[in-house]
Amino acid sequence: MKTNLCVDLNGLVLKNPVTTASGTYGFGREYGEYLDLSLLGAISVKGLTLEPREGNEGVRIAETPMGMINSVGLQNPGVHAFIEHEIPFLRSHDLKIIANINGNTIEEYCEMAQILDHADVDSIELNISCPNVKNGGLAFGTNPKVVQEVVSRVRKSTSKHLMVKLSPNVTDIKEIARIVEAEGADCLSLINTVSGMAIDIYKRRTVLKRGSGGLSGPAIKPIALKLVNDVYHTVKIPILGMGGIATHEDAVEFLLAGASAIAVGTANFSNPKAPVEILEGIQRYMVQMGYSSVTQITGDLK
Amino acid sequence: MRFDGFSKIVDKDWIQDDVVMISIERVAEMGEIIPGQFFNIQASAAGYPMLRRPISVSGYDEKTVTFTVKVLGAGTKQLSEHRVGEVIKLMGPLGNGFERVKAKKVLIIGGGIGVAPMKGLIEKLEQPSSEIDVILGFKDHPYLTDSFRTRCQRLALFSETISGFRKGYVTEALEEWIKTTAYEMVYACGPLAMLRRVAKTLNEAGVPVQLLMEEKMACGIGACLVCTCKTKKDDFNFKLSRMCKDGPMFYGSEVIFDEN
Ligand SMILES: Cc1cc2nc3c(=O)[nH]c(=O)nc-3n(C[C@H](O)[C@H](O)[C@H](O)COP(=O)(O)OP(=O)(O)OC[C@H]3O[C@@H](n4cnc5c(N)ncnc54)[C@H](O)[C@@H]3O)c2cc1C
Ligand SMILES: Cc1cc2nc3c(=O)[nH]c(=O)nc-3n(C[C@H](O)[C@H](O)[C@H](O)COP(=O)(O)O)c2cc1C
Ligand code: FES
Repeated sequence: MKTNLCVDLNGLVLKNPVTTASGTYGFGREYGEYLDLSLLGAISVKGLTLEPREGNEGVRIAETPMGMINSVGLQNPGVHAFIEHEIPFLRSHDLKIIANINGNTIEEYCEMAQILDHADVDSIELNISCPNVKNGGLAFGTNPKVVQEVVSRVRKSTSKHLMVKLSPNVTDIKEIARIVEAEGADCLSLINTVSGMAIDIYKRRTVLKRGSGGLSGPAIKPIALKLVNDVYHTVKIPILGMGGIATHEDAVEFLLAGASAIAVGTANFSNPKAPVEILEGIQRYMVQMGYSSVTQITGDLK
Repeated sequence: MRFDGFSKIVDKDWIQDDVVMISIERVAEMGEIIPGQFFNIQASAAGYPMLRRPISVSGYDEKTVTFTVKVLGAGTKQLSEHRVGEVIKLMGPLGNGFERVKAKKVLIIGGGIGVAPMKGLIEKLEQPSSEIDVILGFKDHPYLTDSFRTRCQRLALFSETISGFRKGYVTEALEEWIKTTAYEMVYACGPLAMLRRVAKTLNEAGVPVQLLMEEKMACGIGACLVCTCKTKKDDFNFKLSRMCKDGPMFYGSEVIFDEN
């Protein structure tokens, strides 16, 4: 049986539903030494800012049961260096480029969207949910009024495919999702990391200098799955689902919950071949279950 | 493509209650290995702990690669429980290892489990061109010392608790020896506090030192940015280099040691 893996995220067409999550894959160069990047549907690049950033000092990681808390803080070369040095490399592969953008202010988000509007990227992923920066970040993603304003203004700044990345650290993700859809986003990606903390009991200090950070990995999968399902029942625009996906079974769960495509994040760290193994596993599952197109799996819960 | 795959354990030897040497088959795809490089190893096929554990190469020949592992927590414990004949999953060699420069007078400093990569280094330092002095420091019983003893001119052994060895810090021997010997290159690995003192002493003396640094890692290849080393950037600024990809070897003159 021939399986059709192509998915259309409302204007962003991927040859297969397996992508890699922002911040876990750099700009693809390092993992390109471990697998053929052209096997991926898309790469969402490390969170970009207008100016280069060094990120947070001090300890940036705490490992937790089946997860990790990171406090990297958007270390990146800035949007201009990305356009000049990283896009040509990514373009030499058969994959879609998703530019993950982060601003301190709404104006900064808009300026980046305008700059990227003229750049060779396939989608802009508006990250309004990063927990690792002092001003902005999470504050943007959790306040419905601010969400409305930032999405509406960024939408007007670019004609590119626009994806908005949602935070799980909200009281009602459905409300946020509805606003984002109403303001004209083409697609939603979720979830970003879950706020978390780890304490060194002998130093009697938090492991991370900033106190808390973002929890990712298998530990957050059930949370992510539930939120994807909630959002699926709330909006019509497609969902790029992520949060703890490490195996093809995990990926299929997200598709069944309502995601149209998935992203592999933290799992890359323990298994650099995870995206490829997940893609192969999805194909086997399709054959086994009699799906001819991967789009049929989305939301196909009995 | 770089190596990420399986290799069989061919030898295992407990050299202390909590330190084990594990040798694996050297797989062709691993390619060239440089002392100071490391492998990122899956502790258990069961998948817990989730992240791989970075372990330095502590010796290699055409057929095998040897690691020396100190059991600290869950990951190293599981690593140490593998038996000869079992396979482990690992990727590497990774990172920038030592630059083996031609030098007449060389000094090697190792502290604790930091002696593991220094063993790999001294075994590959060109003997004829160098006279090598070695300073090793331990909390308890010294280990791996034979590899150094047979290859060095002078050996100073420190132990905090065991009698018959020098007490105190390895930097005491360092400060004595640099007064009388003009070292052209120093190599060091050990606890952060030791590396900080070694770098300070040698920077002041104007002697180049290659430090093998350590930081908690995730991807091990430079993609996730969770491992950083604060390094100098022009005269006034700093940058946060990736420990795993830009290091783990850094020159003492590059590193900025913050007081924590
Ligand atoms: C480049 C590199 C090379 C290394 N080479 C070797 C080697 O040759 N032999 C060897 O035995 N070990 C080596 N290590 C250290 C080894 O990776 C850690 O000891 C191991 O990851 C601990 O895992 P665990 O699950 O046993 O302990 P965990 O449960 O993760 O930690 C136990 C304790 O050790 C501390 N710890 C964990 N990782 C580190 C670290 N990287 N640095 C400082 N403290 C840490 C934790 O905070 C905790 O207190 C190396 C580390 C790096 C970065
Ligand atoms: C080290 C690290 C850095 C991250 N950086 C970003 C980022 O820059 N922008 C972003 O939108 N998400 C970032 N994320 C979140 C991931 O893209 C993803 O949403 C989250 O980790 C959940 O997926 P996972 O459990 O598969 O990793 C980061 C995650 C990790 C672990
Ligand atoms: S461990 Fe990922 S960048 Fe070093």
